[in-house]
Amino acid sequence: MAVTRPVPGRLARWAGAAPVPVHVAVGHGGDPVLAQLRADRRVEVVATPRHATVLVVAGHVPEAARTALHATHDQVRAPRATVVVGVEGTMVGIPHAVSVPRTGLVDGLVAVQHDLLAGDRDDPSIGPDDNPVAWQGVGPHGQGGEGMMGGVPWGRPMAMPPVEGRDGLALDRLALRLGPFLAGLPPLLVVDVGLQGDVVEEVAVEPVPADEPPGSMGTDGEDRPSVVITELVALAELLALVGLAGMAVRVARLATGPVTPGDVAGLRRRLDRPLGLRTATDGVGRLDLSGRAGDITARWRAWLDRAAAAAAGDRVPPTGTLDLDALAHELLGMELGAALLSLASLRPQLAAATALPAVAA
Amino acid sequence: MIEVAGAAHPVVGALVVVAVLALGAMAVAVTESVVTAHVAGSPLGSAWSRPWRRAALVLARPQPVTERPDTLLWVLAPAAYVGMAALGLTVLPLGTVWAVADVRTGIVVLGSAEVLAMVAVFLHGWAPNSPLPLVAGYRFVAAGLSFLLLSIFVLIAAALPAESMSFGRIVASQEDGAWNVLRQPLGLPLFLVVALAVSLHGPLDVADAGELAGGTTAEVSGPARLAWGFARRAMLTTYAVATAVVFLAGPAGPLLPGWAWLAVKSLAVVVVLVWIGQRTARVPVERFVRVAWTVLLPLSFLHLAIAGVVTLA
Amino acid sequence: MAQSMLGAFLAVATATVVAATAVAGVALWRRPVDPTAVAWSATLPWLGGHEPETHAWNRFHARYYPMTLVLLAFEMEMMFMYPWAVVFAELGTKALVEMAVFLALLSLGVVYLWREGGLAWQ
Repeated sequence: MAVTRPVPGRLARWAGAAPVPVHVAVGHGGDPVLAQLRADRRVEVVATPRHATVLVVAGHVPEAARTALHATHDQVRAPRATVVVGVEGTMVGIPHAVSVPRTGLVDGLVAVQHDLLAGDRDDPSIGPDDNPVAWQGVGPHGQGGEGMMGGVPWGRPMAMPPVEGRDGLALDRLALRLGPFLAGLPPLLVVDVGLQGDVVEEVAVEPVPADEPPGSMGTDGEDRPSVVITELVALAELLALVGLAGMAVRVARLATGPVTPGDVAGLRRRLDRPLGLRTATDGVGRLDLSGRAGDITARWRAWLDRAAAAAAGDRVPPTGTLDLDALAHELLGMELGAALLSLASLRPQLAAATALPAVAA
Repeated sequence: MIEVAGAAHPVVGALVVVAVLALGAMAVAVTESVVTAHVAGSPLGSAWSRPWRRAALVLARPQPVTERPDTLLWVLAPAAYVGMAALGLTVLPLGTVWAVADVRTGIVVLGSAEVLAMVAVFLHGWAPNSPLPLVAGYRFVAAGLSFLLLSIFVLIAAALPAESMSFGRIVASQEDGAWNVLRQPLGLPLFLVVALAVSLHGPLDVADAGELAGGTTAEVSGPARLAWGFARRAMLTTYAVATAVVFLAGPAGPLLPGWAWLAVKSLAVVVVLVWIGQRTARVPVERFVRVAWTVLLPLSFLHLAIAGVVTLA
Repeated sequence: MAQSMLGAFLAVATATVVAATAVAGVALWRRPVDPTAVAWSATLPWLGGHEPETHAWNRFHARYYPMTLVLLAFEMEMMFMYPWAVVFAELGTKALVEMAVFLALLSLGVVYLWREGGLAWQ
């Protein structure tokens, strides 16, 4: 039965042969799935749910992130579908989600996209159809009448508390709650930022509280991802963020198979050039955390070191923990993009931090 | 000697411009797909048809809606961006004796297209009324105001030996003397920086950045997204043609007809630009602004001085 | 065929408008007539799963504001540069020296901007 207006025939035929654009909501232990999706030519991992036809839930999403997951679900434009990997949809509070085993994941995605184009499928939204708060904006777009002031559009104030800027001007502060499913951010991390212009002037980094002890969760009952996968997935995500899509696919493909130290050395040769990845990372995101200072370049070089050591069979020490308050302090004053890249460059450490069970305050 | 004349009829000219932009955008999309597949180490076989399949899917998806967007500006942004790509293309000689518009002030027209394109990109970030595109729009303006001067200095340097601001005369002066890529060697790399930045490609794509969830495109889906993707590639086409005209003597060459030479040279520029884009990561906007003002701008002064001395020699 | 100046700019305008209109058509195709018919939860700005706390449009603190002022100085200078470029070969060394002095003066503005930290974000 057709639930939506189907797409015209010839367009649908071409579109049906397109790689499936997926937005991946990464939970605990979702890295292997993420690598698998990025490596496969029949799938395209996109930067925002707006560009996706299918939302993929990879790994375990704790109770505390359900609301955010449902919001992400709704922000994929209809006709939409959600695919959960290795668990049932009810486990993440999306009963209509398609459950697919990891081995048949990509085939499942292709089939789901086919149904969407044929008009045979459209998942209903989970959130409310109407804003619970009434429109109180001033002006046609809620821009607030004169000088962008006044009005409370959707109960949401204009960003206008007077803040003394560098030159004594009263300028607005934009308050954003980023994550936990923003592409490229470490999984299950929420970042509260206060922005003035595009500079971070207030920030708090908090993991979504875990609701099960780490180690028991994974996908299809697998063990927690190996060091190689953790580090290479972090690298692939960083590459995707800075626009090196081809290299991201290459690294993800490496992460899905057995890796030799030679592979890692080859990767290093490709990336560690002044006009390669380093253009985006040299001198960016300088952080001084628990005695280890360095920029993003230093951190992705360390990933390669660890991946090479693990591939050679050496023992690799655990990533260690991070003082999130100290991290937040270091992010102050950065441009928003640089701050987000810095967080992405701490993916292995932050993933380890968010996987810890919540400690009672 | 090349004598550029204008089009027979404005409508014919318009159709030619639309056709060139469409073909160019397709060529850019295919080049991107092939180069990306090559860098990824994927088989190249399906890379040729991948852009068409992706475009069909994007077209089949629904249009974007946000809470309270400025819909008019949202539709106008890609339209204006393509309009500026078209505006720039009209004054470039597309064949040995033929430009859509024989305008004596060609470099001024291209310069104004560039400025207005910047407005279009900003509006694309502003219109959805969403924080991440908004930040992306504002940061693009910073980058835009930094590369603007470079392009004007490069174009003015090219006008010195031609003794004219017309692109036709710039081609003719290269035919009489040497190609500008040789007698004005700093110009080509400077102009490639401008081409990448104005068309939101590769290391200078600060507006549609991945770390901001796709920047100005973060809320865009469906045909509107296809329109924006087309607009970026159309702009790259215009700047690739401009690069070929200003530095590689555009349609000039033996045996082949002028348009064929221009197509070959422009395609070569596209391949170089796309290749840079898949090799070099996105430059942080703050650094780009600093480098543009403290390194590239003095270089463009030097470039102008060299061009001046060579012209008088 | 010779083209009058008016004819040339008519061609420029026609091509611009035709190309822009075609793309506007694509951007409008199948656009929902009533955007409020789309479920509210689907229209929230994308931030990774949370609602924004403030309206996006704001009095934005553009950190590059001092740079824009220096740019204005250069833009005015361009006005003189276009005609200068056309007569440059005719006037010779004199034109070269004059423009060098002019640019040197403007460069002082850039040096000042850089020294004052006008190119840094914070």
